[in-house]
Amino acid sequence: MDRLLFTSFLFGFMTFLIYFARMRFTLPDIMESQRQELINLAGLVNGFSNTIYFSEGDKN
Amino acid sequence: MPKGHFSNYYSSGAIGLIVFLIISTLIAPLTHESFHIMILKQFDCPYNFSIHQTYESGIFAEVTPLCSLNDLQAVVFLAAGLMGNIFVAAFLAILTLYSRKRRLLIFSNLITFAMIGFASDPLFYFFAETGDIITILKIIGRSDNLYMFKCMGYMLAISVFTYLWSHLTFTIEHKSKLQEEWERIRKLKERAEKKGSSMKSKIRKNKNKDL
Repeated sequence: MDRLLFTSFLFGFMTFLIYFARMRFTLPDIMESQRQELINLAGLVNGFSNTIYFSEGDKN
Repeated sequence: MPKGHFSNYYSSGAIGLIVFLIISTLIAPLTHESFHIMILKQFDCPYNFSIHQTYESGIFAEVTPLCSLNDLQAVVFLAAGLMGNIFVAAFLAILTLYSRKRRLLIFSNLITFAMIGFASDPLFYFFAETGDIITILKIIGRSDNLYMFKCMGYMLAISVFTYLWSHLTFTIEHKSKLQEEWERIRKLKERAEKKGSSMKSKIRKNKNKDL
């Protein structure tokens, strides 16, 4: 096996390790922020549905 | 800690990879040969030193002793390059641990990649089909025992990458903790500033009343 080929293999493996380690520690944060966004969105939808209901109720 | 410090941390990873490439292709082969030369100087043996370059192997040096060495001397001469680079890598690993203790994250990041650069040279020889280890086995007369050296190579590779993994997880965790702490301090500062401004306005109002 040639030295340059071996070095490039090590380089690729290390890049993968760095990427994997970073994702492992930042993914939970990203998921948490997405969860919060979903909760906010659900609250917003719920709020809209309430306003629609009350507005219809007022009409009747 | 300013925000720039975190971007410095991320760039230290990328710079570390470039440092690894430079060390593994240029510096580690030269230190390997310099350890061979050191041993030859100990034996008072003249030598021929030449640097070659090919597209397949990059830049590499070659040391040929110009005197007759006995079997033991030849084995020591051949093993010196590998062992020297392993010692350099071990020294750098200890330096990384020390810098980690001192919380010098960026420095320890760069040194870790340099350590892997130096460790890549013995790793290459453990898996190569020609080179110092094969010659040592031929001198000893145990060319069949190549699998033992391959096992040693795998052990070295596993220990190097386990070390890299532990370093990465430590630095990333520590960095996120620092970031959280920095955010907390920033919020406290903002709150203190707001309180300070409201207090100032209250004092002004009181002064106006007195007037």
